[in-house]
Amino acid sequence: MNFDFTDDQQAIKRTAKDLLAQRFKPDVVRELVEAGRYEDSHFAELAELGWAGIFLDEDQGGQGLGTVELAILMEELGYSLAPVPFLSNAAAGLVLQHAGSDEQRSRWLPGIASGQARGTAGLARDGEGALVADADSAAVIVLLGDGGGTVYEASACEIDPVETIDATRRYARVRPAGDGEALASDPAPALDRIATALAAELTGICQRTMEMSVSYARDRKQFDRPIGAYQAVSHRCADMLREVESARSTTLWAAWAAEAEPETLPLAAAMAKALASDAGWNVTSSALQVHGGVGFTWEHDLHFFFKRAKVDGALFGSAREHRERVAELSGLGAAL
Amino acid sequence: MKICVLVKEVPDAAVEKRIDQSSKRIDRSGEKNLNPFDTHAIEAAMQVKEGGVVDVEEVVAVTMGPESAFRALHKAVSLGADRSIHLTDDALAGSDCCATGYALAKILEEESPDLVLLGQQSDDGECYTMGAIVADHLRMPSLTQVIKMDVEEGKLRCERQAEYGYDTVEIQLPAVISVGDAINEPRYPSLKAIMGAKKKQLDTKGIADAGIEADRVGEGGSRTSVLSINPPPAKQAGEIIEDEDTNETVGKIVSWLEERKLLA
Repeated sequence: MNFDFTDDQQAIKRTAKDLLAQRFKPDVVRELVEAGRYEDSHFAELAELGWAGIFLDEDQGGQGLGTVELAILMEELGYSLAPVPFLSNAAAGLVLQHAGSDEQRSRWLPGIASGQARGTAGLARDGEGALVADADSAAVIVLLGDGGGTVYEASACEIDPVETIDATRRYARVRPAGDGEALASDPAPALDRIATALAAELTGICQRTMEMSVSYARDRKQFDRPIGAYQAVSHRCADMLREVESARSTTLWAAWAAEAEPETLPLAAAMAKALASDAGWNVTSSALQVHGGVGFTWEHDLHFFFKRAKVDGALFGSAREHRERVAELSGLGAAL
Repeated sequence: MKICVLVKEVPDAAVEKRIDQSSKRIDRSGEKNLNPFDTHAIEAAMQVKEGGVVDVEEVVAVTMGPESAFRALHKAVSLGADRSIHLTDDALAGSDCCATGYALAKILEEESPDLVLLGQQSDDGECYTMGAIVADHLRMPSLTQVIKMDVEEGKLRCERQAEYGYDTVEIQLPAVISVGDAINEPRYPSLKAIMGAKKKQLDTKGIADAGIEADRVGEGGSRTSVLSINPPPAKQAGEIIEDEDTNETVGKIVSWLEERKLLA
């Protein structure tokens, strides 16, 4: 059995890594984060290259690729900590693609694929979305809950920006002020794919912070030896690798299952999101420990990764919620 | 007009460069990529094609390399080349710069391009001379380190970077132009272009197909041979001049430079 990416997938990954490294150098990310904004040209370029509609059908303006390719992009977006409204737009696209009516799909998906009329999706309680990414710049907002969802034009919602610890992404509270349209079917298949995409982003964040830690542990010397030579540091780095690889393997399994074995997707996606959310917390907080005092200063970039990992871990279900789902799907009961 | 772009598969920039002591060649195992300097040559070709000043019928990417080098050609066509040619043959292994230039020129002879473009250097061998060697075989004029290129009917007006500034040179076509990395910012391939790369024509040729004489290529056909490889001598410790009195410090620096005849 061949677990490698195909040549095309490798080319997509390499292109994404090169482009994002060029566009999101640490000083650029810091400038955008401190200003609390995105640079419109960044998302426009990604959309121009076809990224925004990577998983959408070609007749909807997409690229006709799948969840594995989406996961490849998401991992690299996490690795580069790109401040772009990609995840939110992809989430809306996934929900409308899998649960929207024909009319909803034809109305909104071309704009999502081209990036001209972005969307977003978020979980709602009592009809209100408490934390919806990029709602303030979206054209269409999908609020999800209780096995269904409602599609709103952004102009039919009250949108109040919400500050979170993760300043690399913009969030808002969304209160519908007008009528929306119900989705045509259960959005669960879309939620599984969104969880998988988030797990991929968390994997990228973990990979980057692990690399930063290993590099620091090689260079930084204490008592005339690199700190990586001390077991207290090297064991942490080894644990980071174990967590990164576990998160990546499970995420790619879920991404593969989305098209190849859809009946396995709910379990795989829940496992991936649970593992990656835990890894996001464990790896980035270990990275802070390896970096010592400099790691938690504002001037060091590490805290930006740490904070996005923390918020990503909570978006679309926490690790605990996804573990409970794994238990339920495995026949072990809803809450252990 | 037909443009041929010479490209090369090289070890990825993230891979540490190593010498294989047994073969005395660069160890090219591990992750590989299209030579980043060649992406500037492809971009230059695309800008000529899209510029509309002359009618470009096609842009052809050409490489010589092992079987794996087709990936560099896929990248080249995803960046805009219309088709590609892969010269690959066991007999070519170990070719030095001159032998490689001869082999590439034989492929180019068949193509009869109006313009040959290539990057200023490869990221592995860094010989910098491939453009000149190919031009010599093709009997075409050649320029190196070109950082601006305006095409007119039958000729190019180029700016080339020199140690003392910039030369502005007019050159008749056909010509071989080695471009510097300051000439442009290469584009990134779209997903559609990446996925479509495999569908573009790729011709694989051996030395017999291209009329290449076997005794002029490969390790045996190369005129140079590497006898030994040694690390560069360790740098000597520098001399630190404390700036206690600036006039005195300047005097010491000037004396130091004069002793080494570094002042004109």
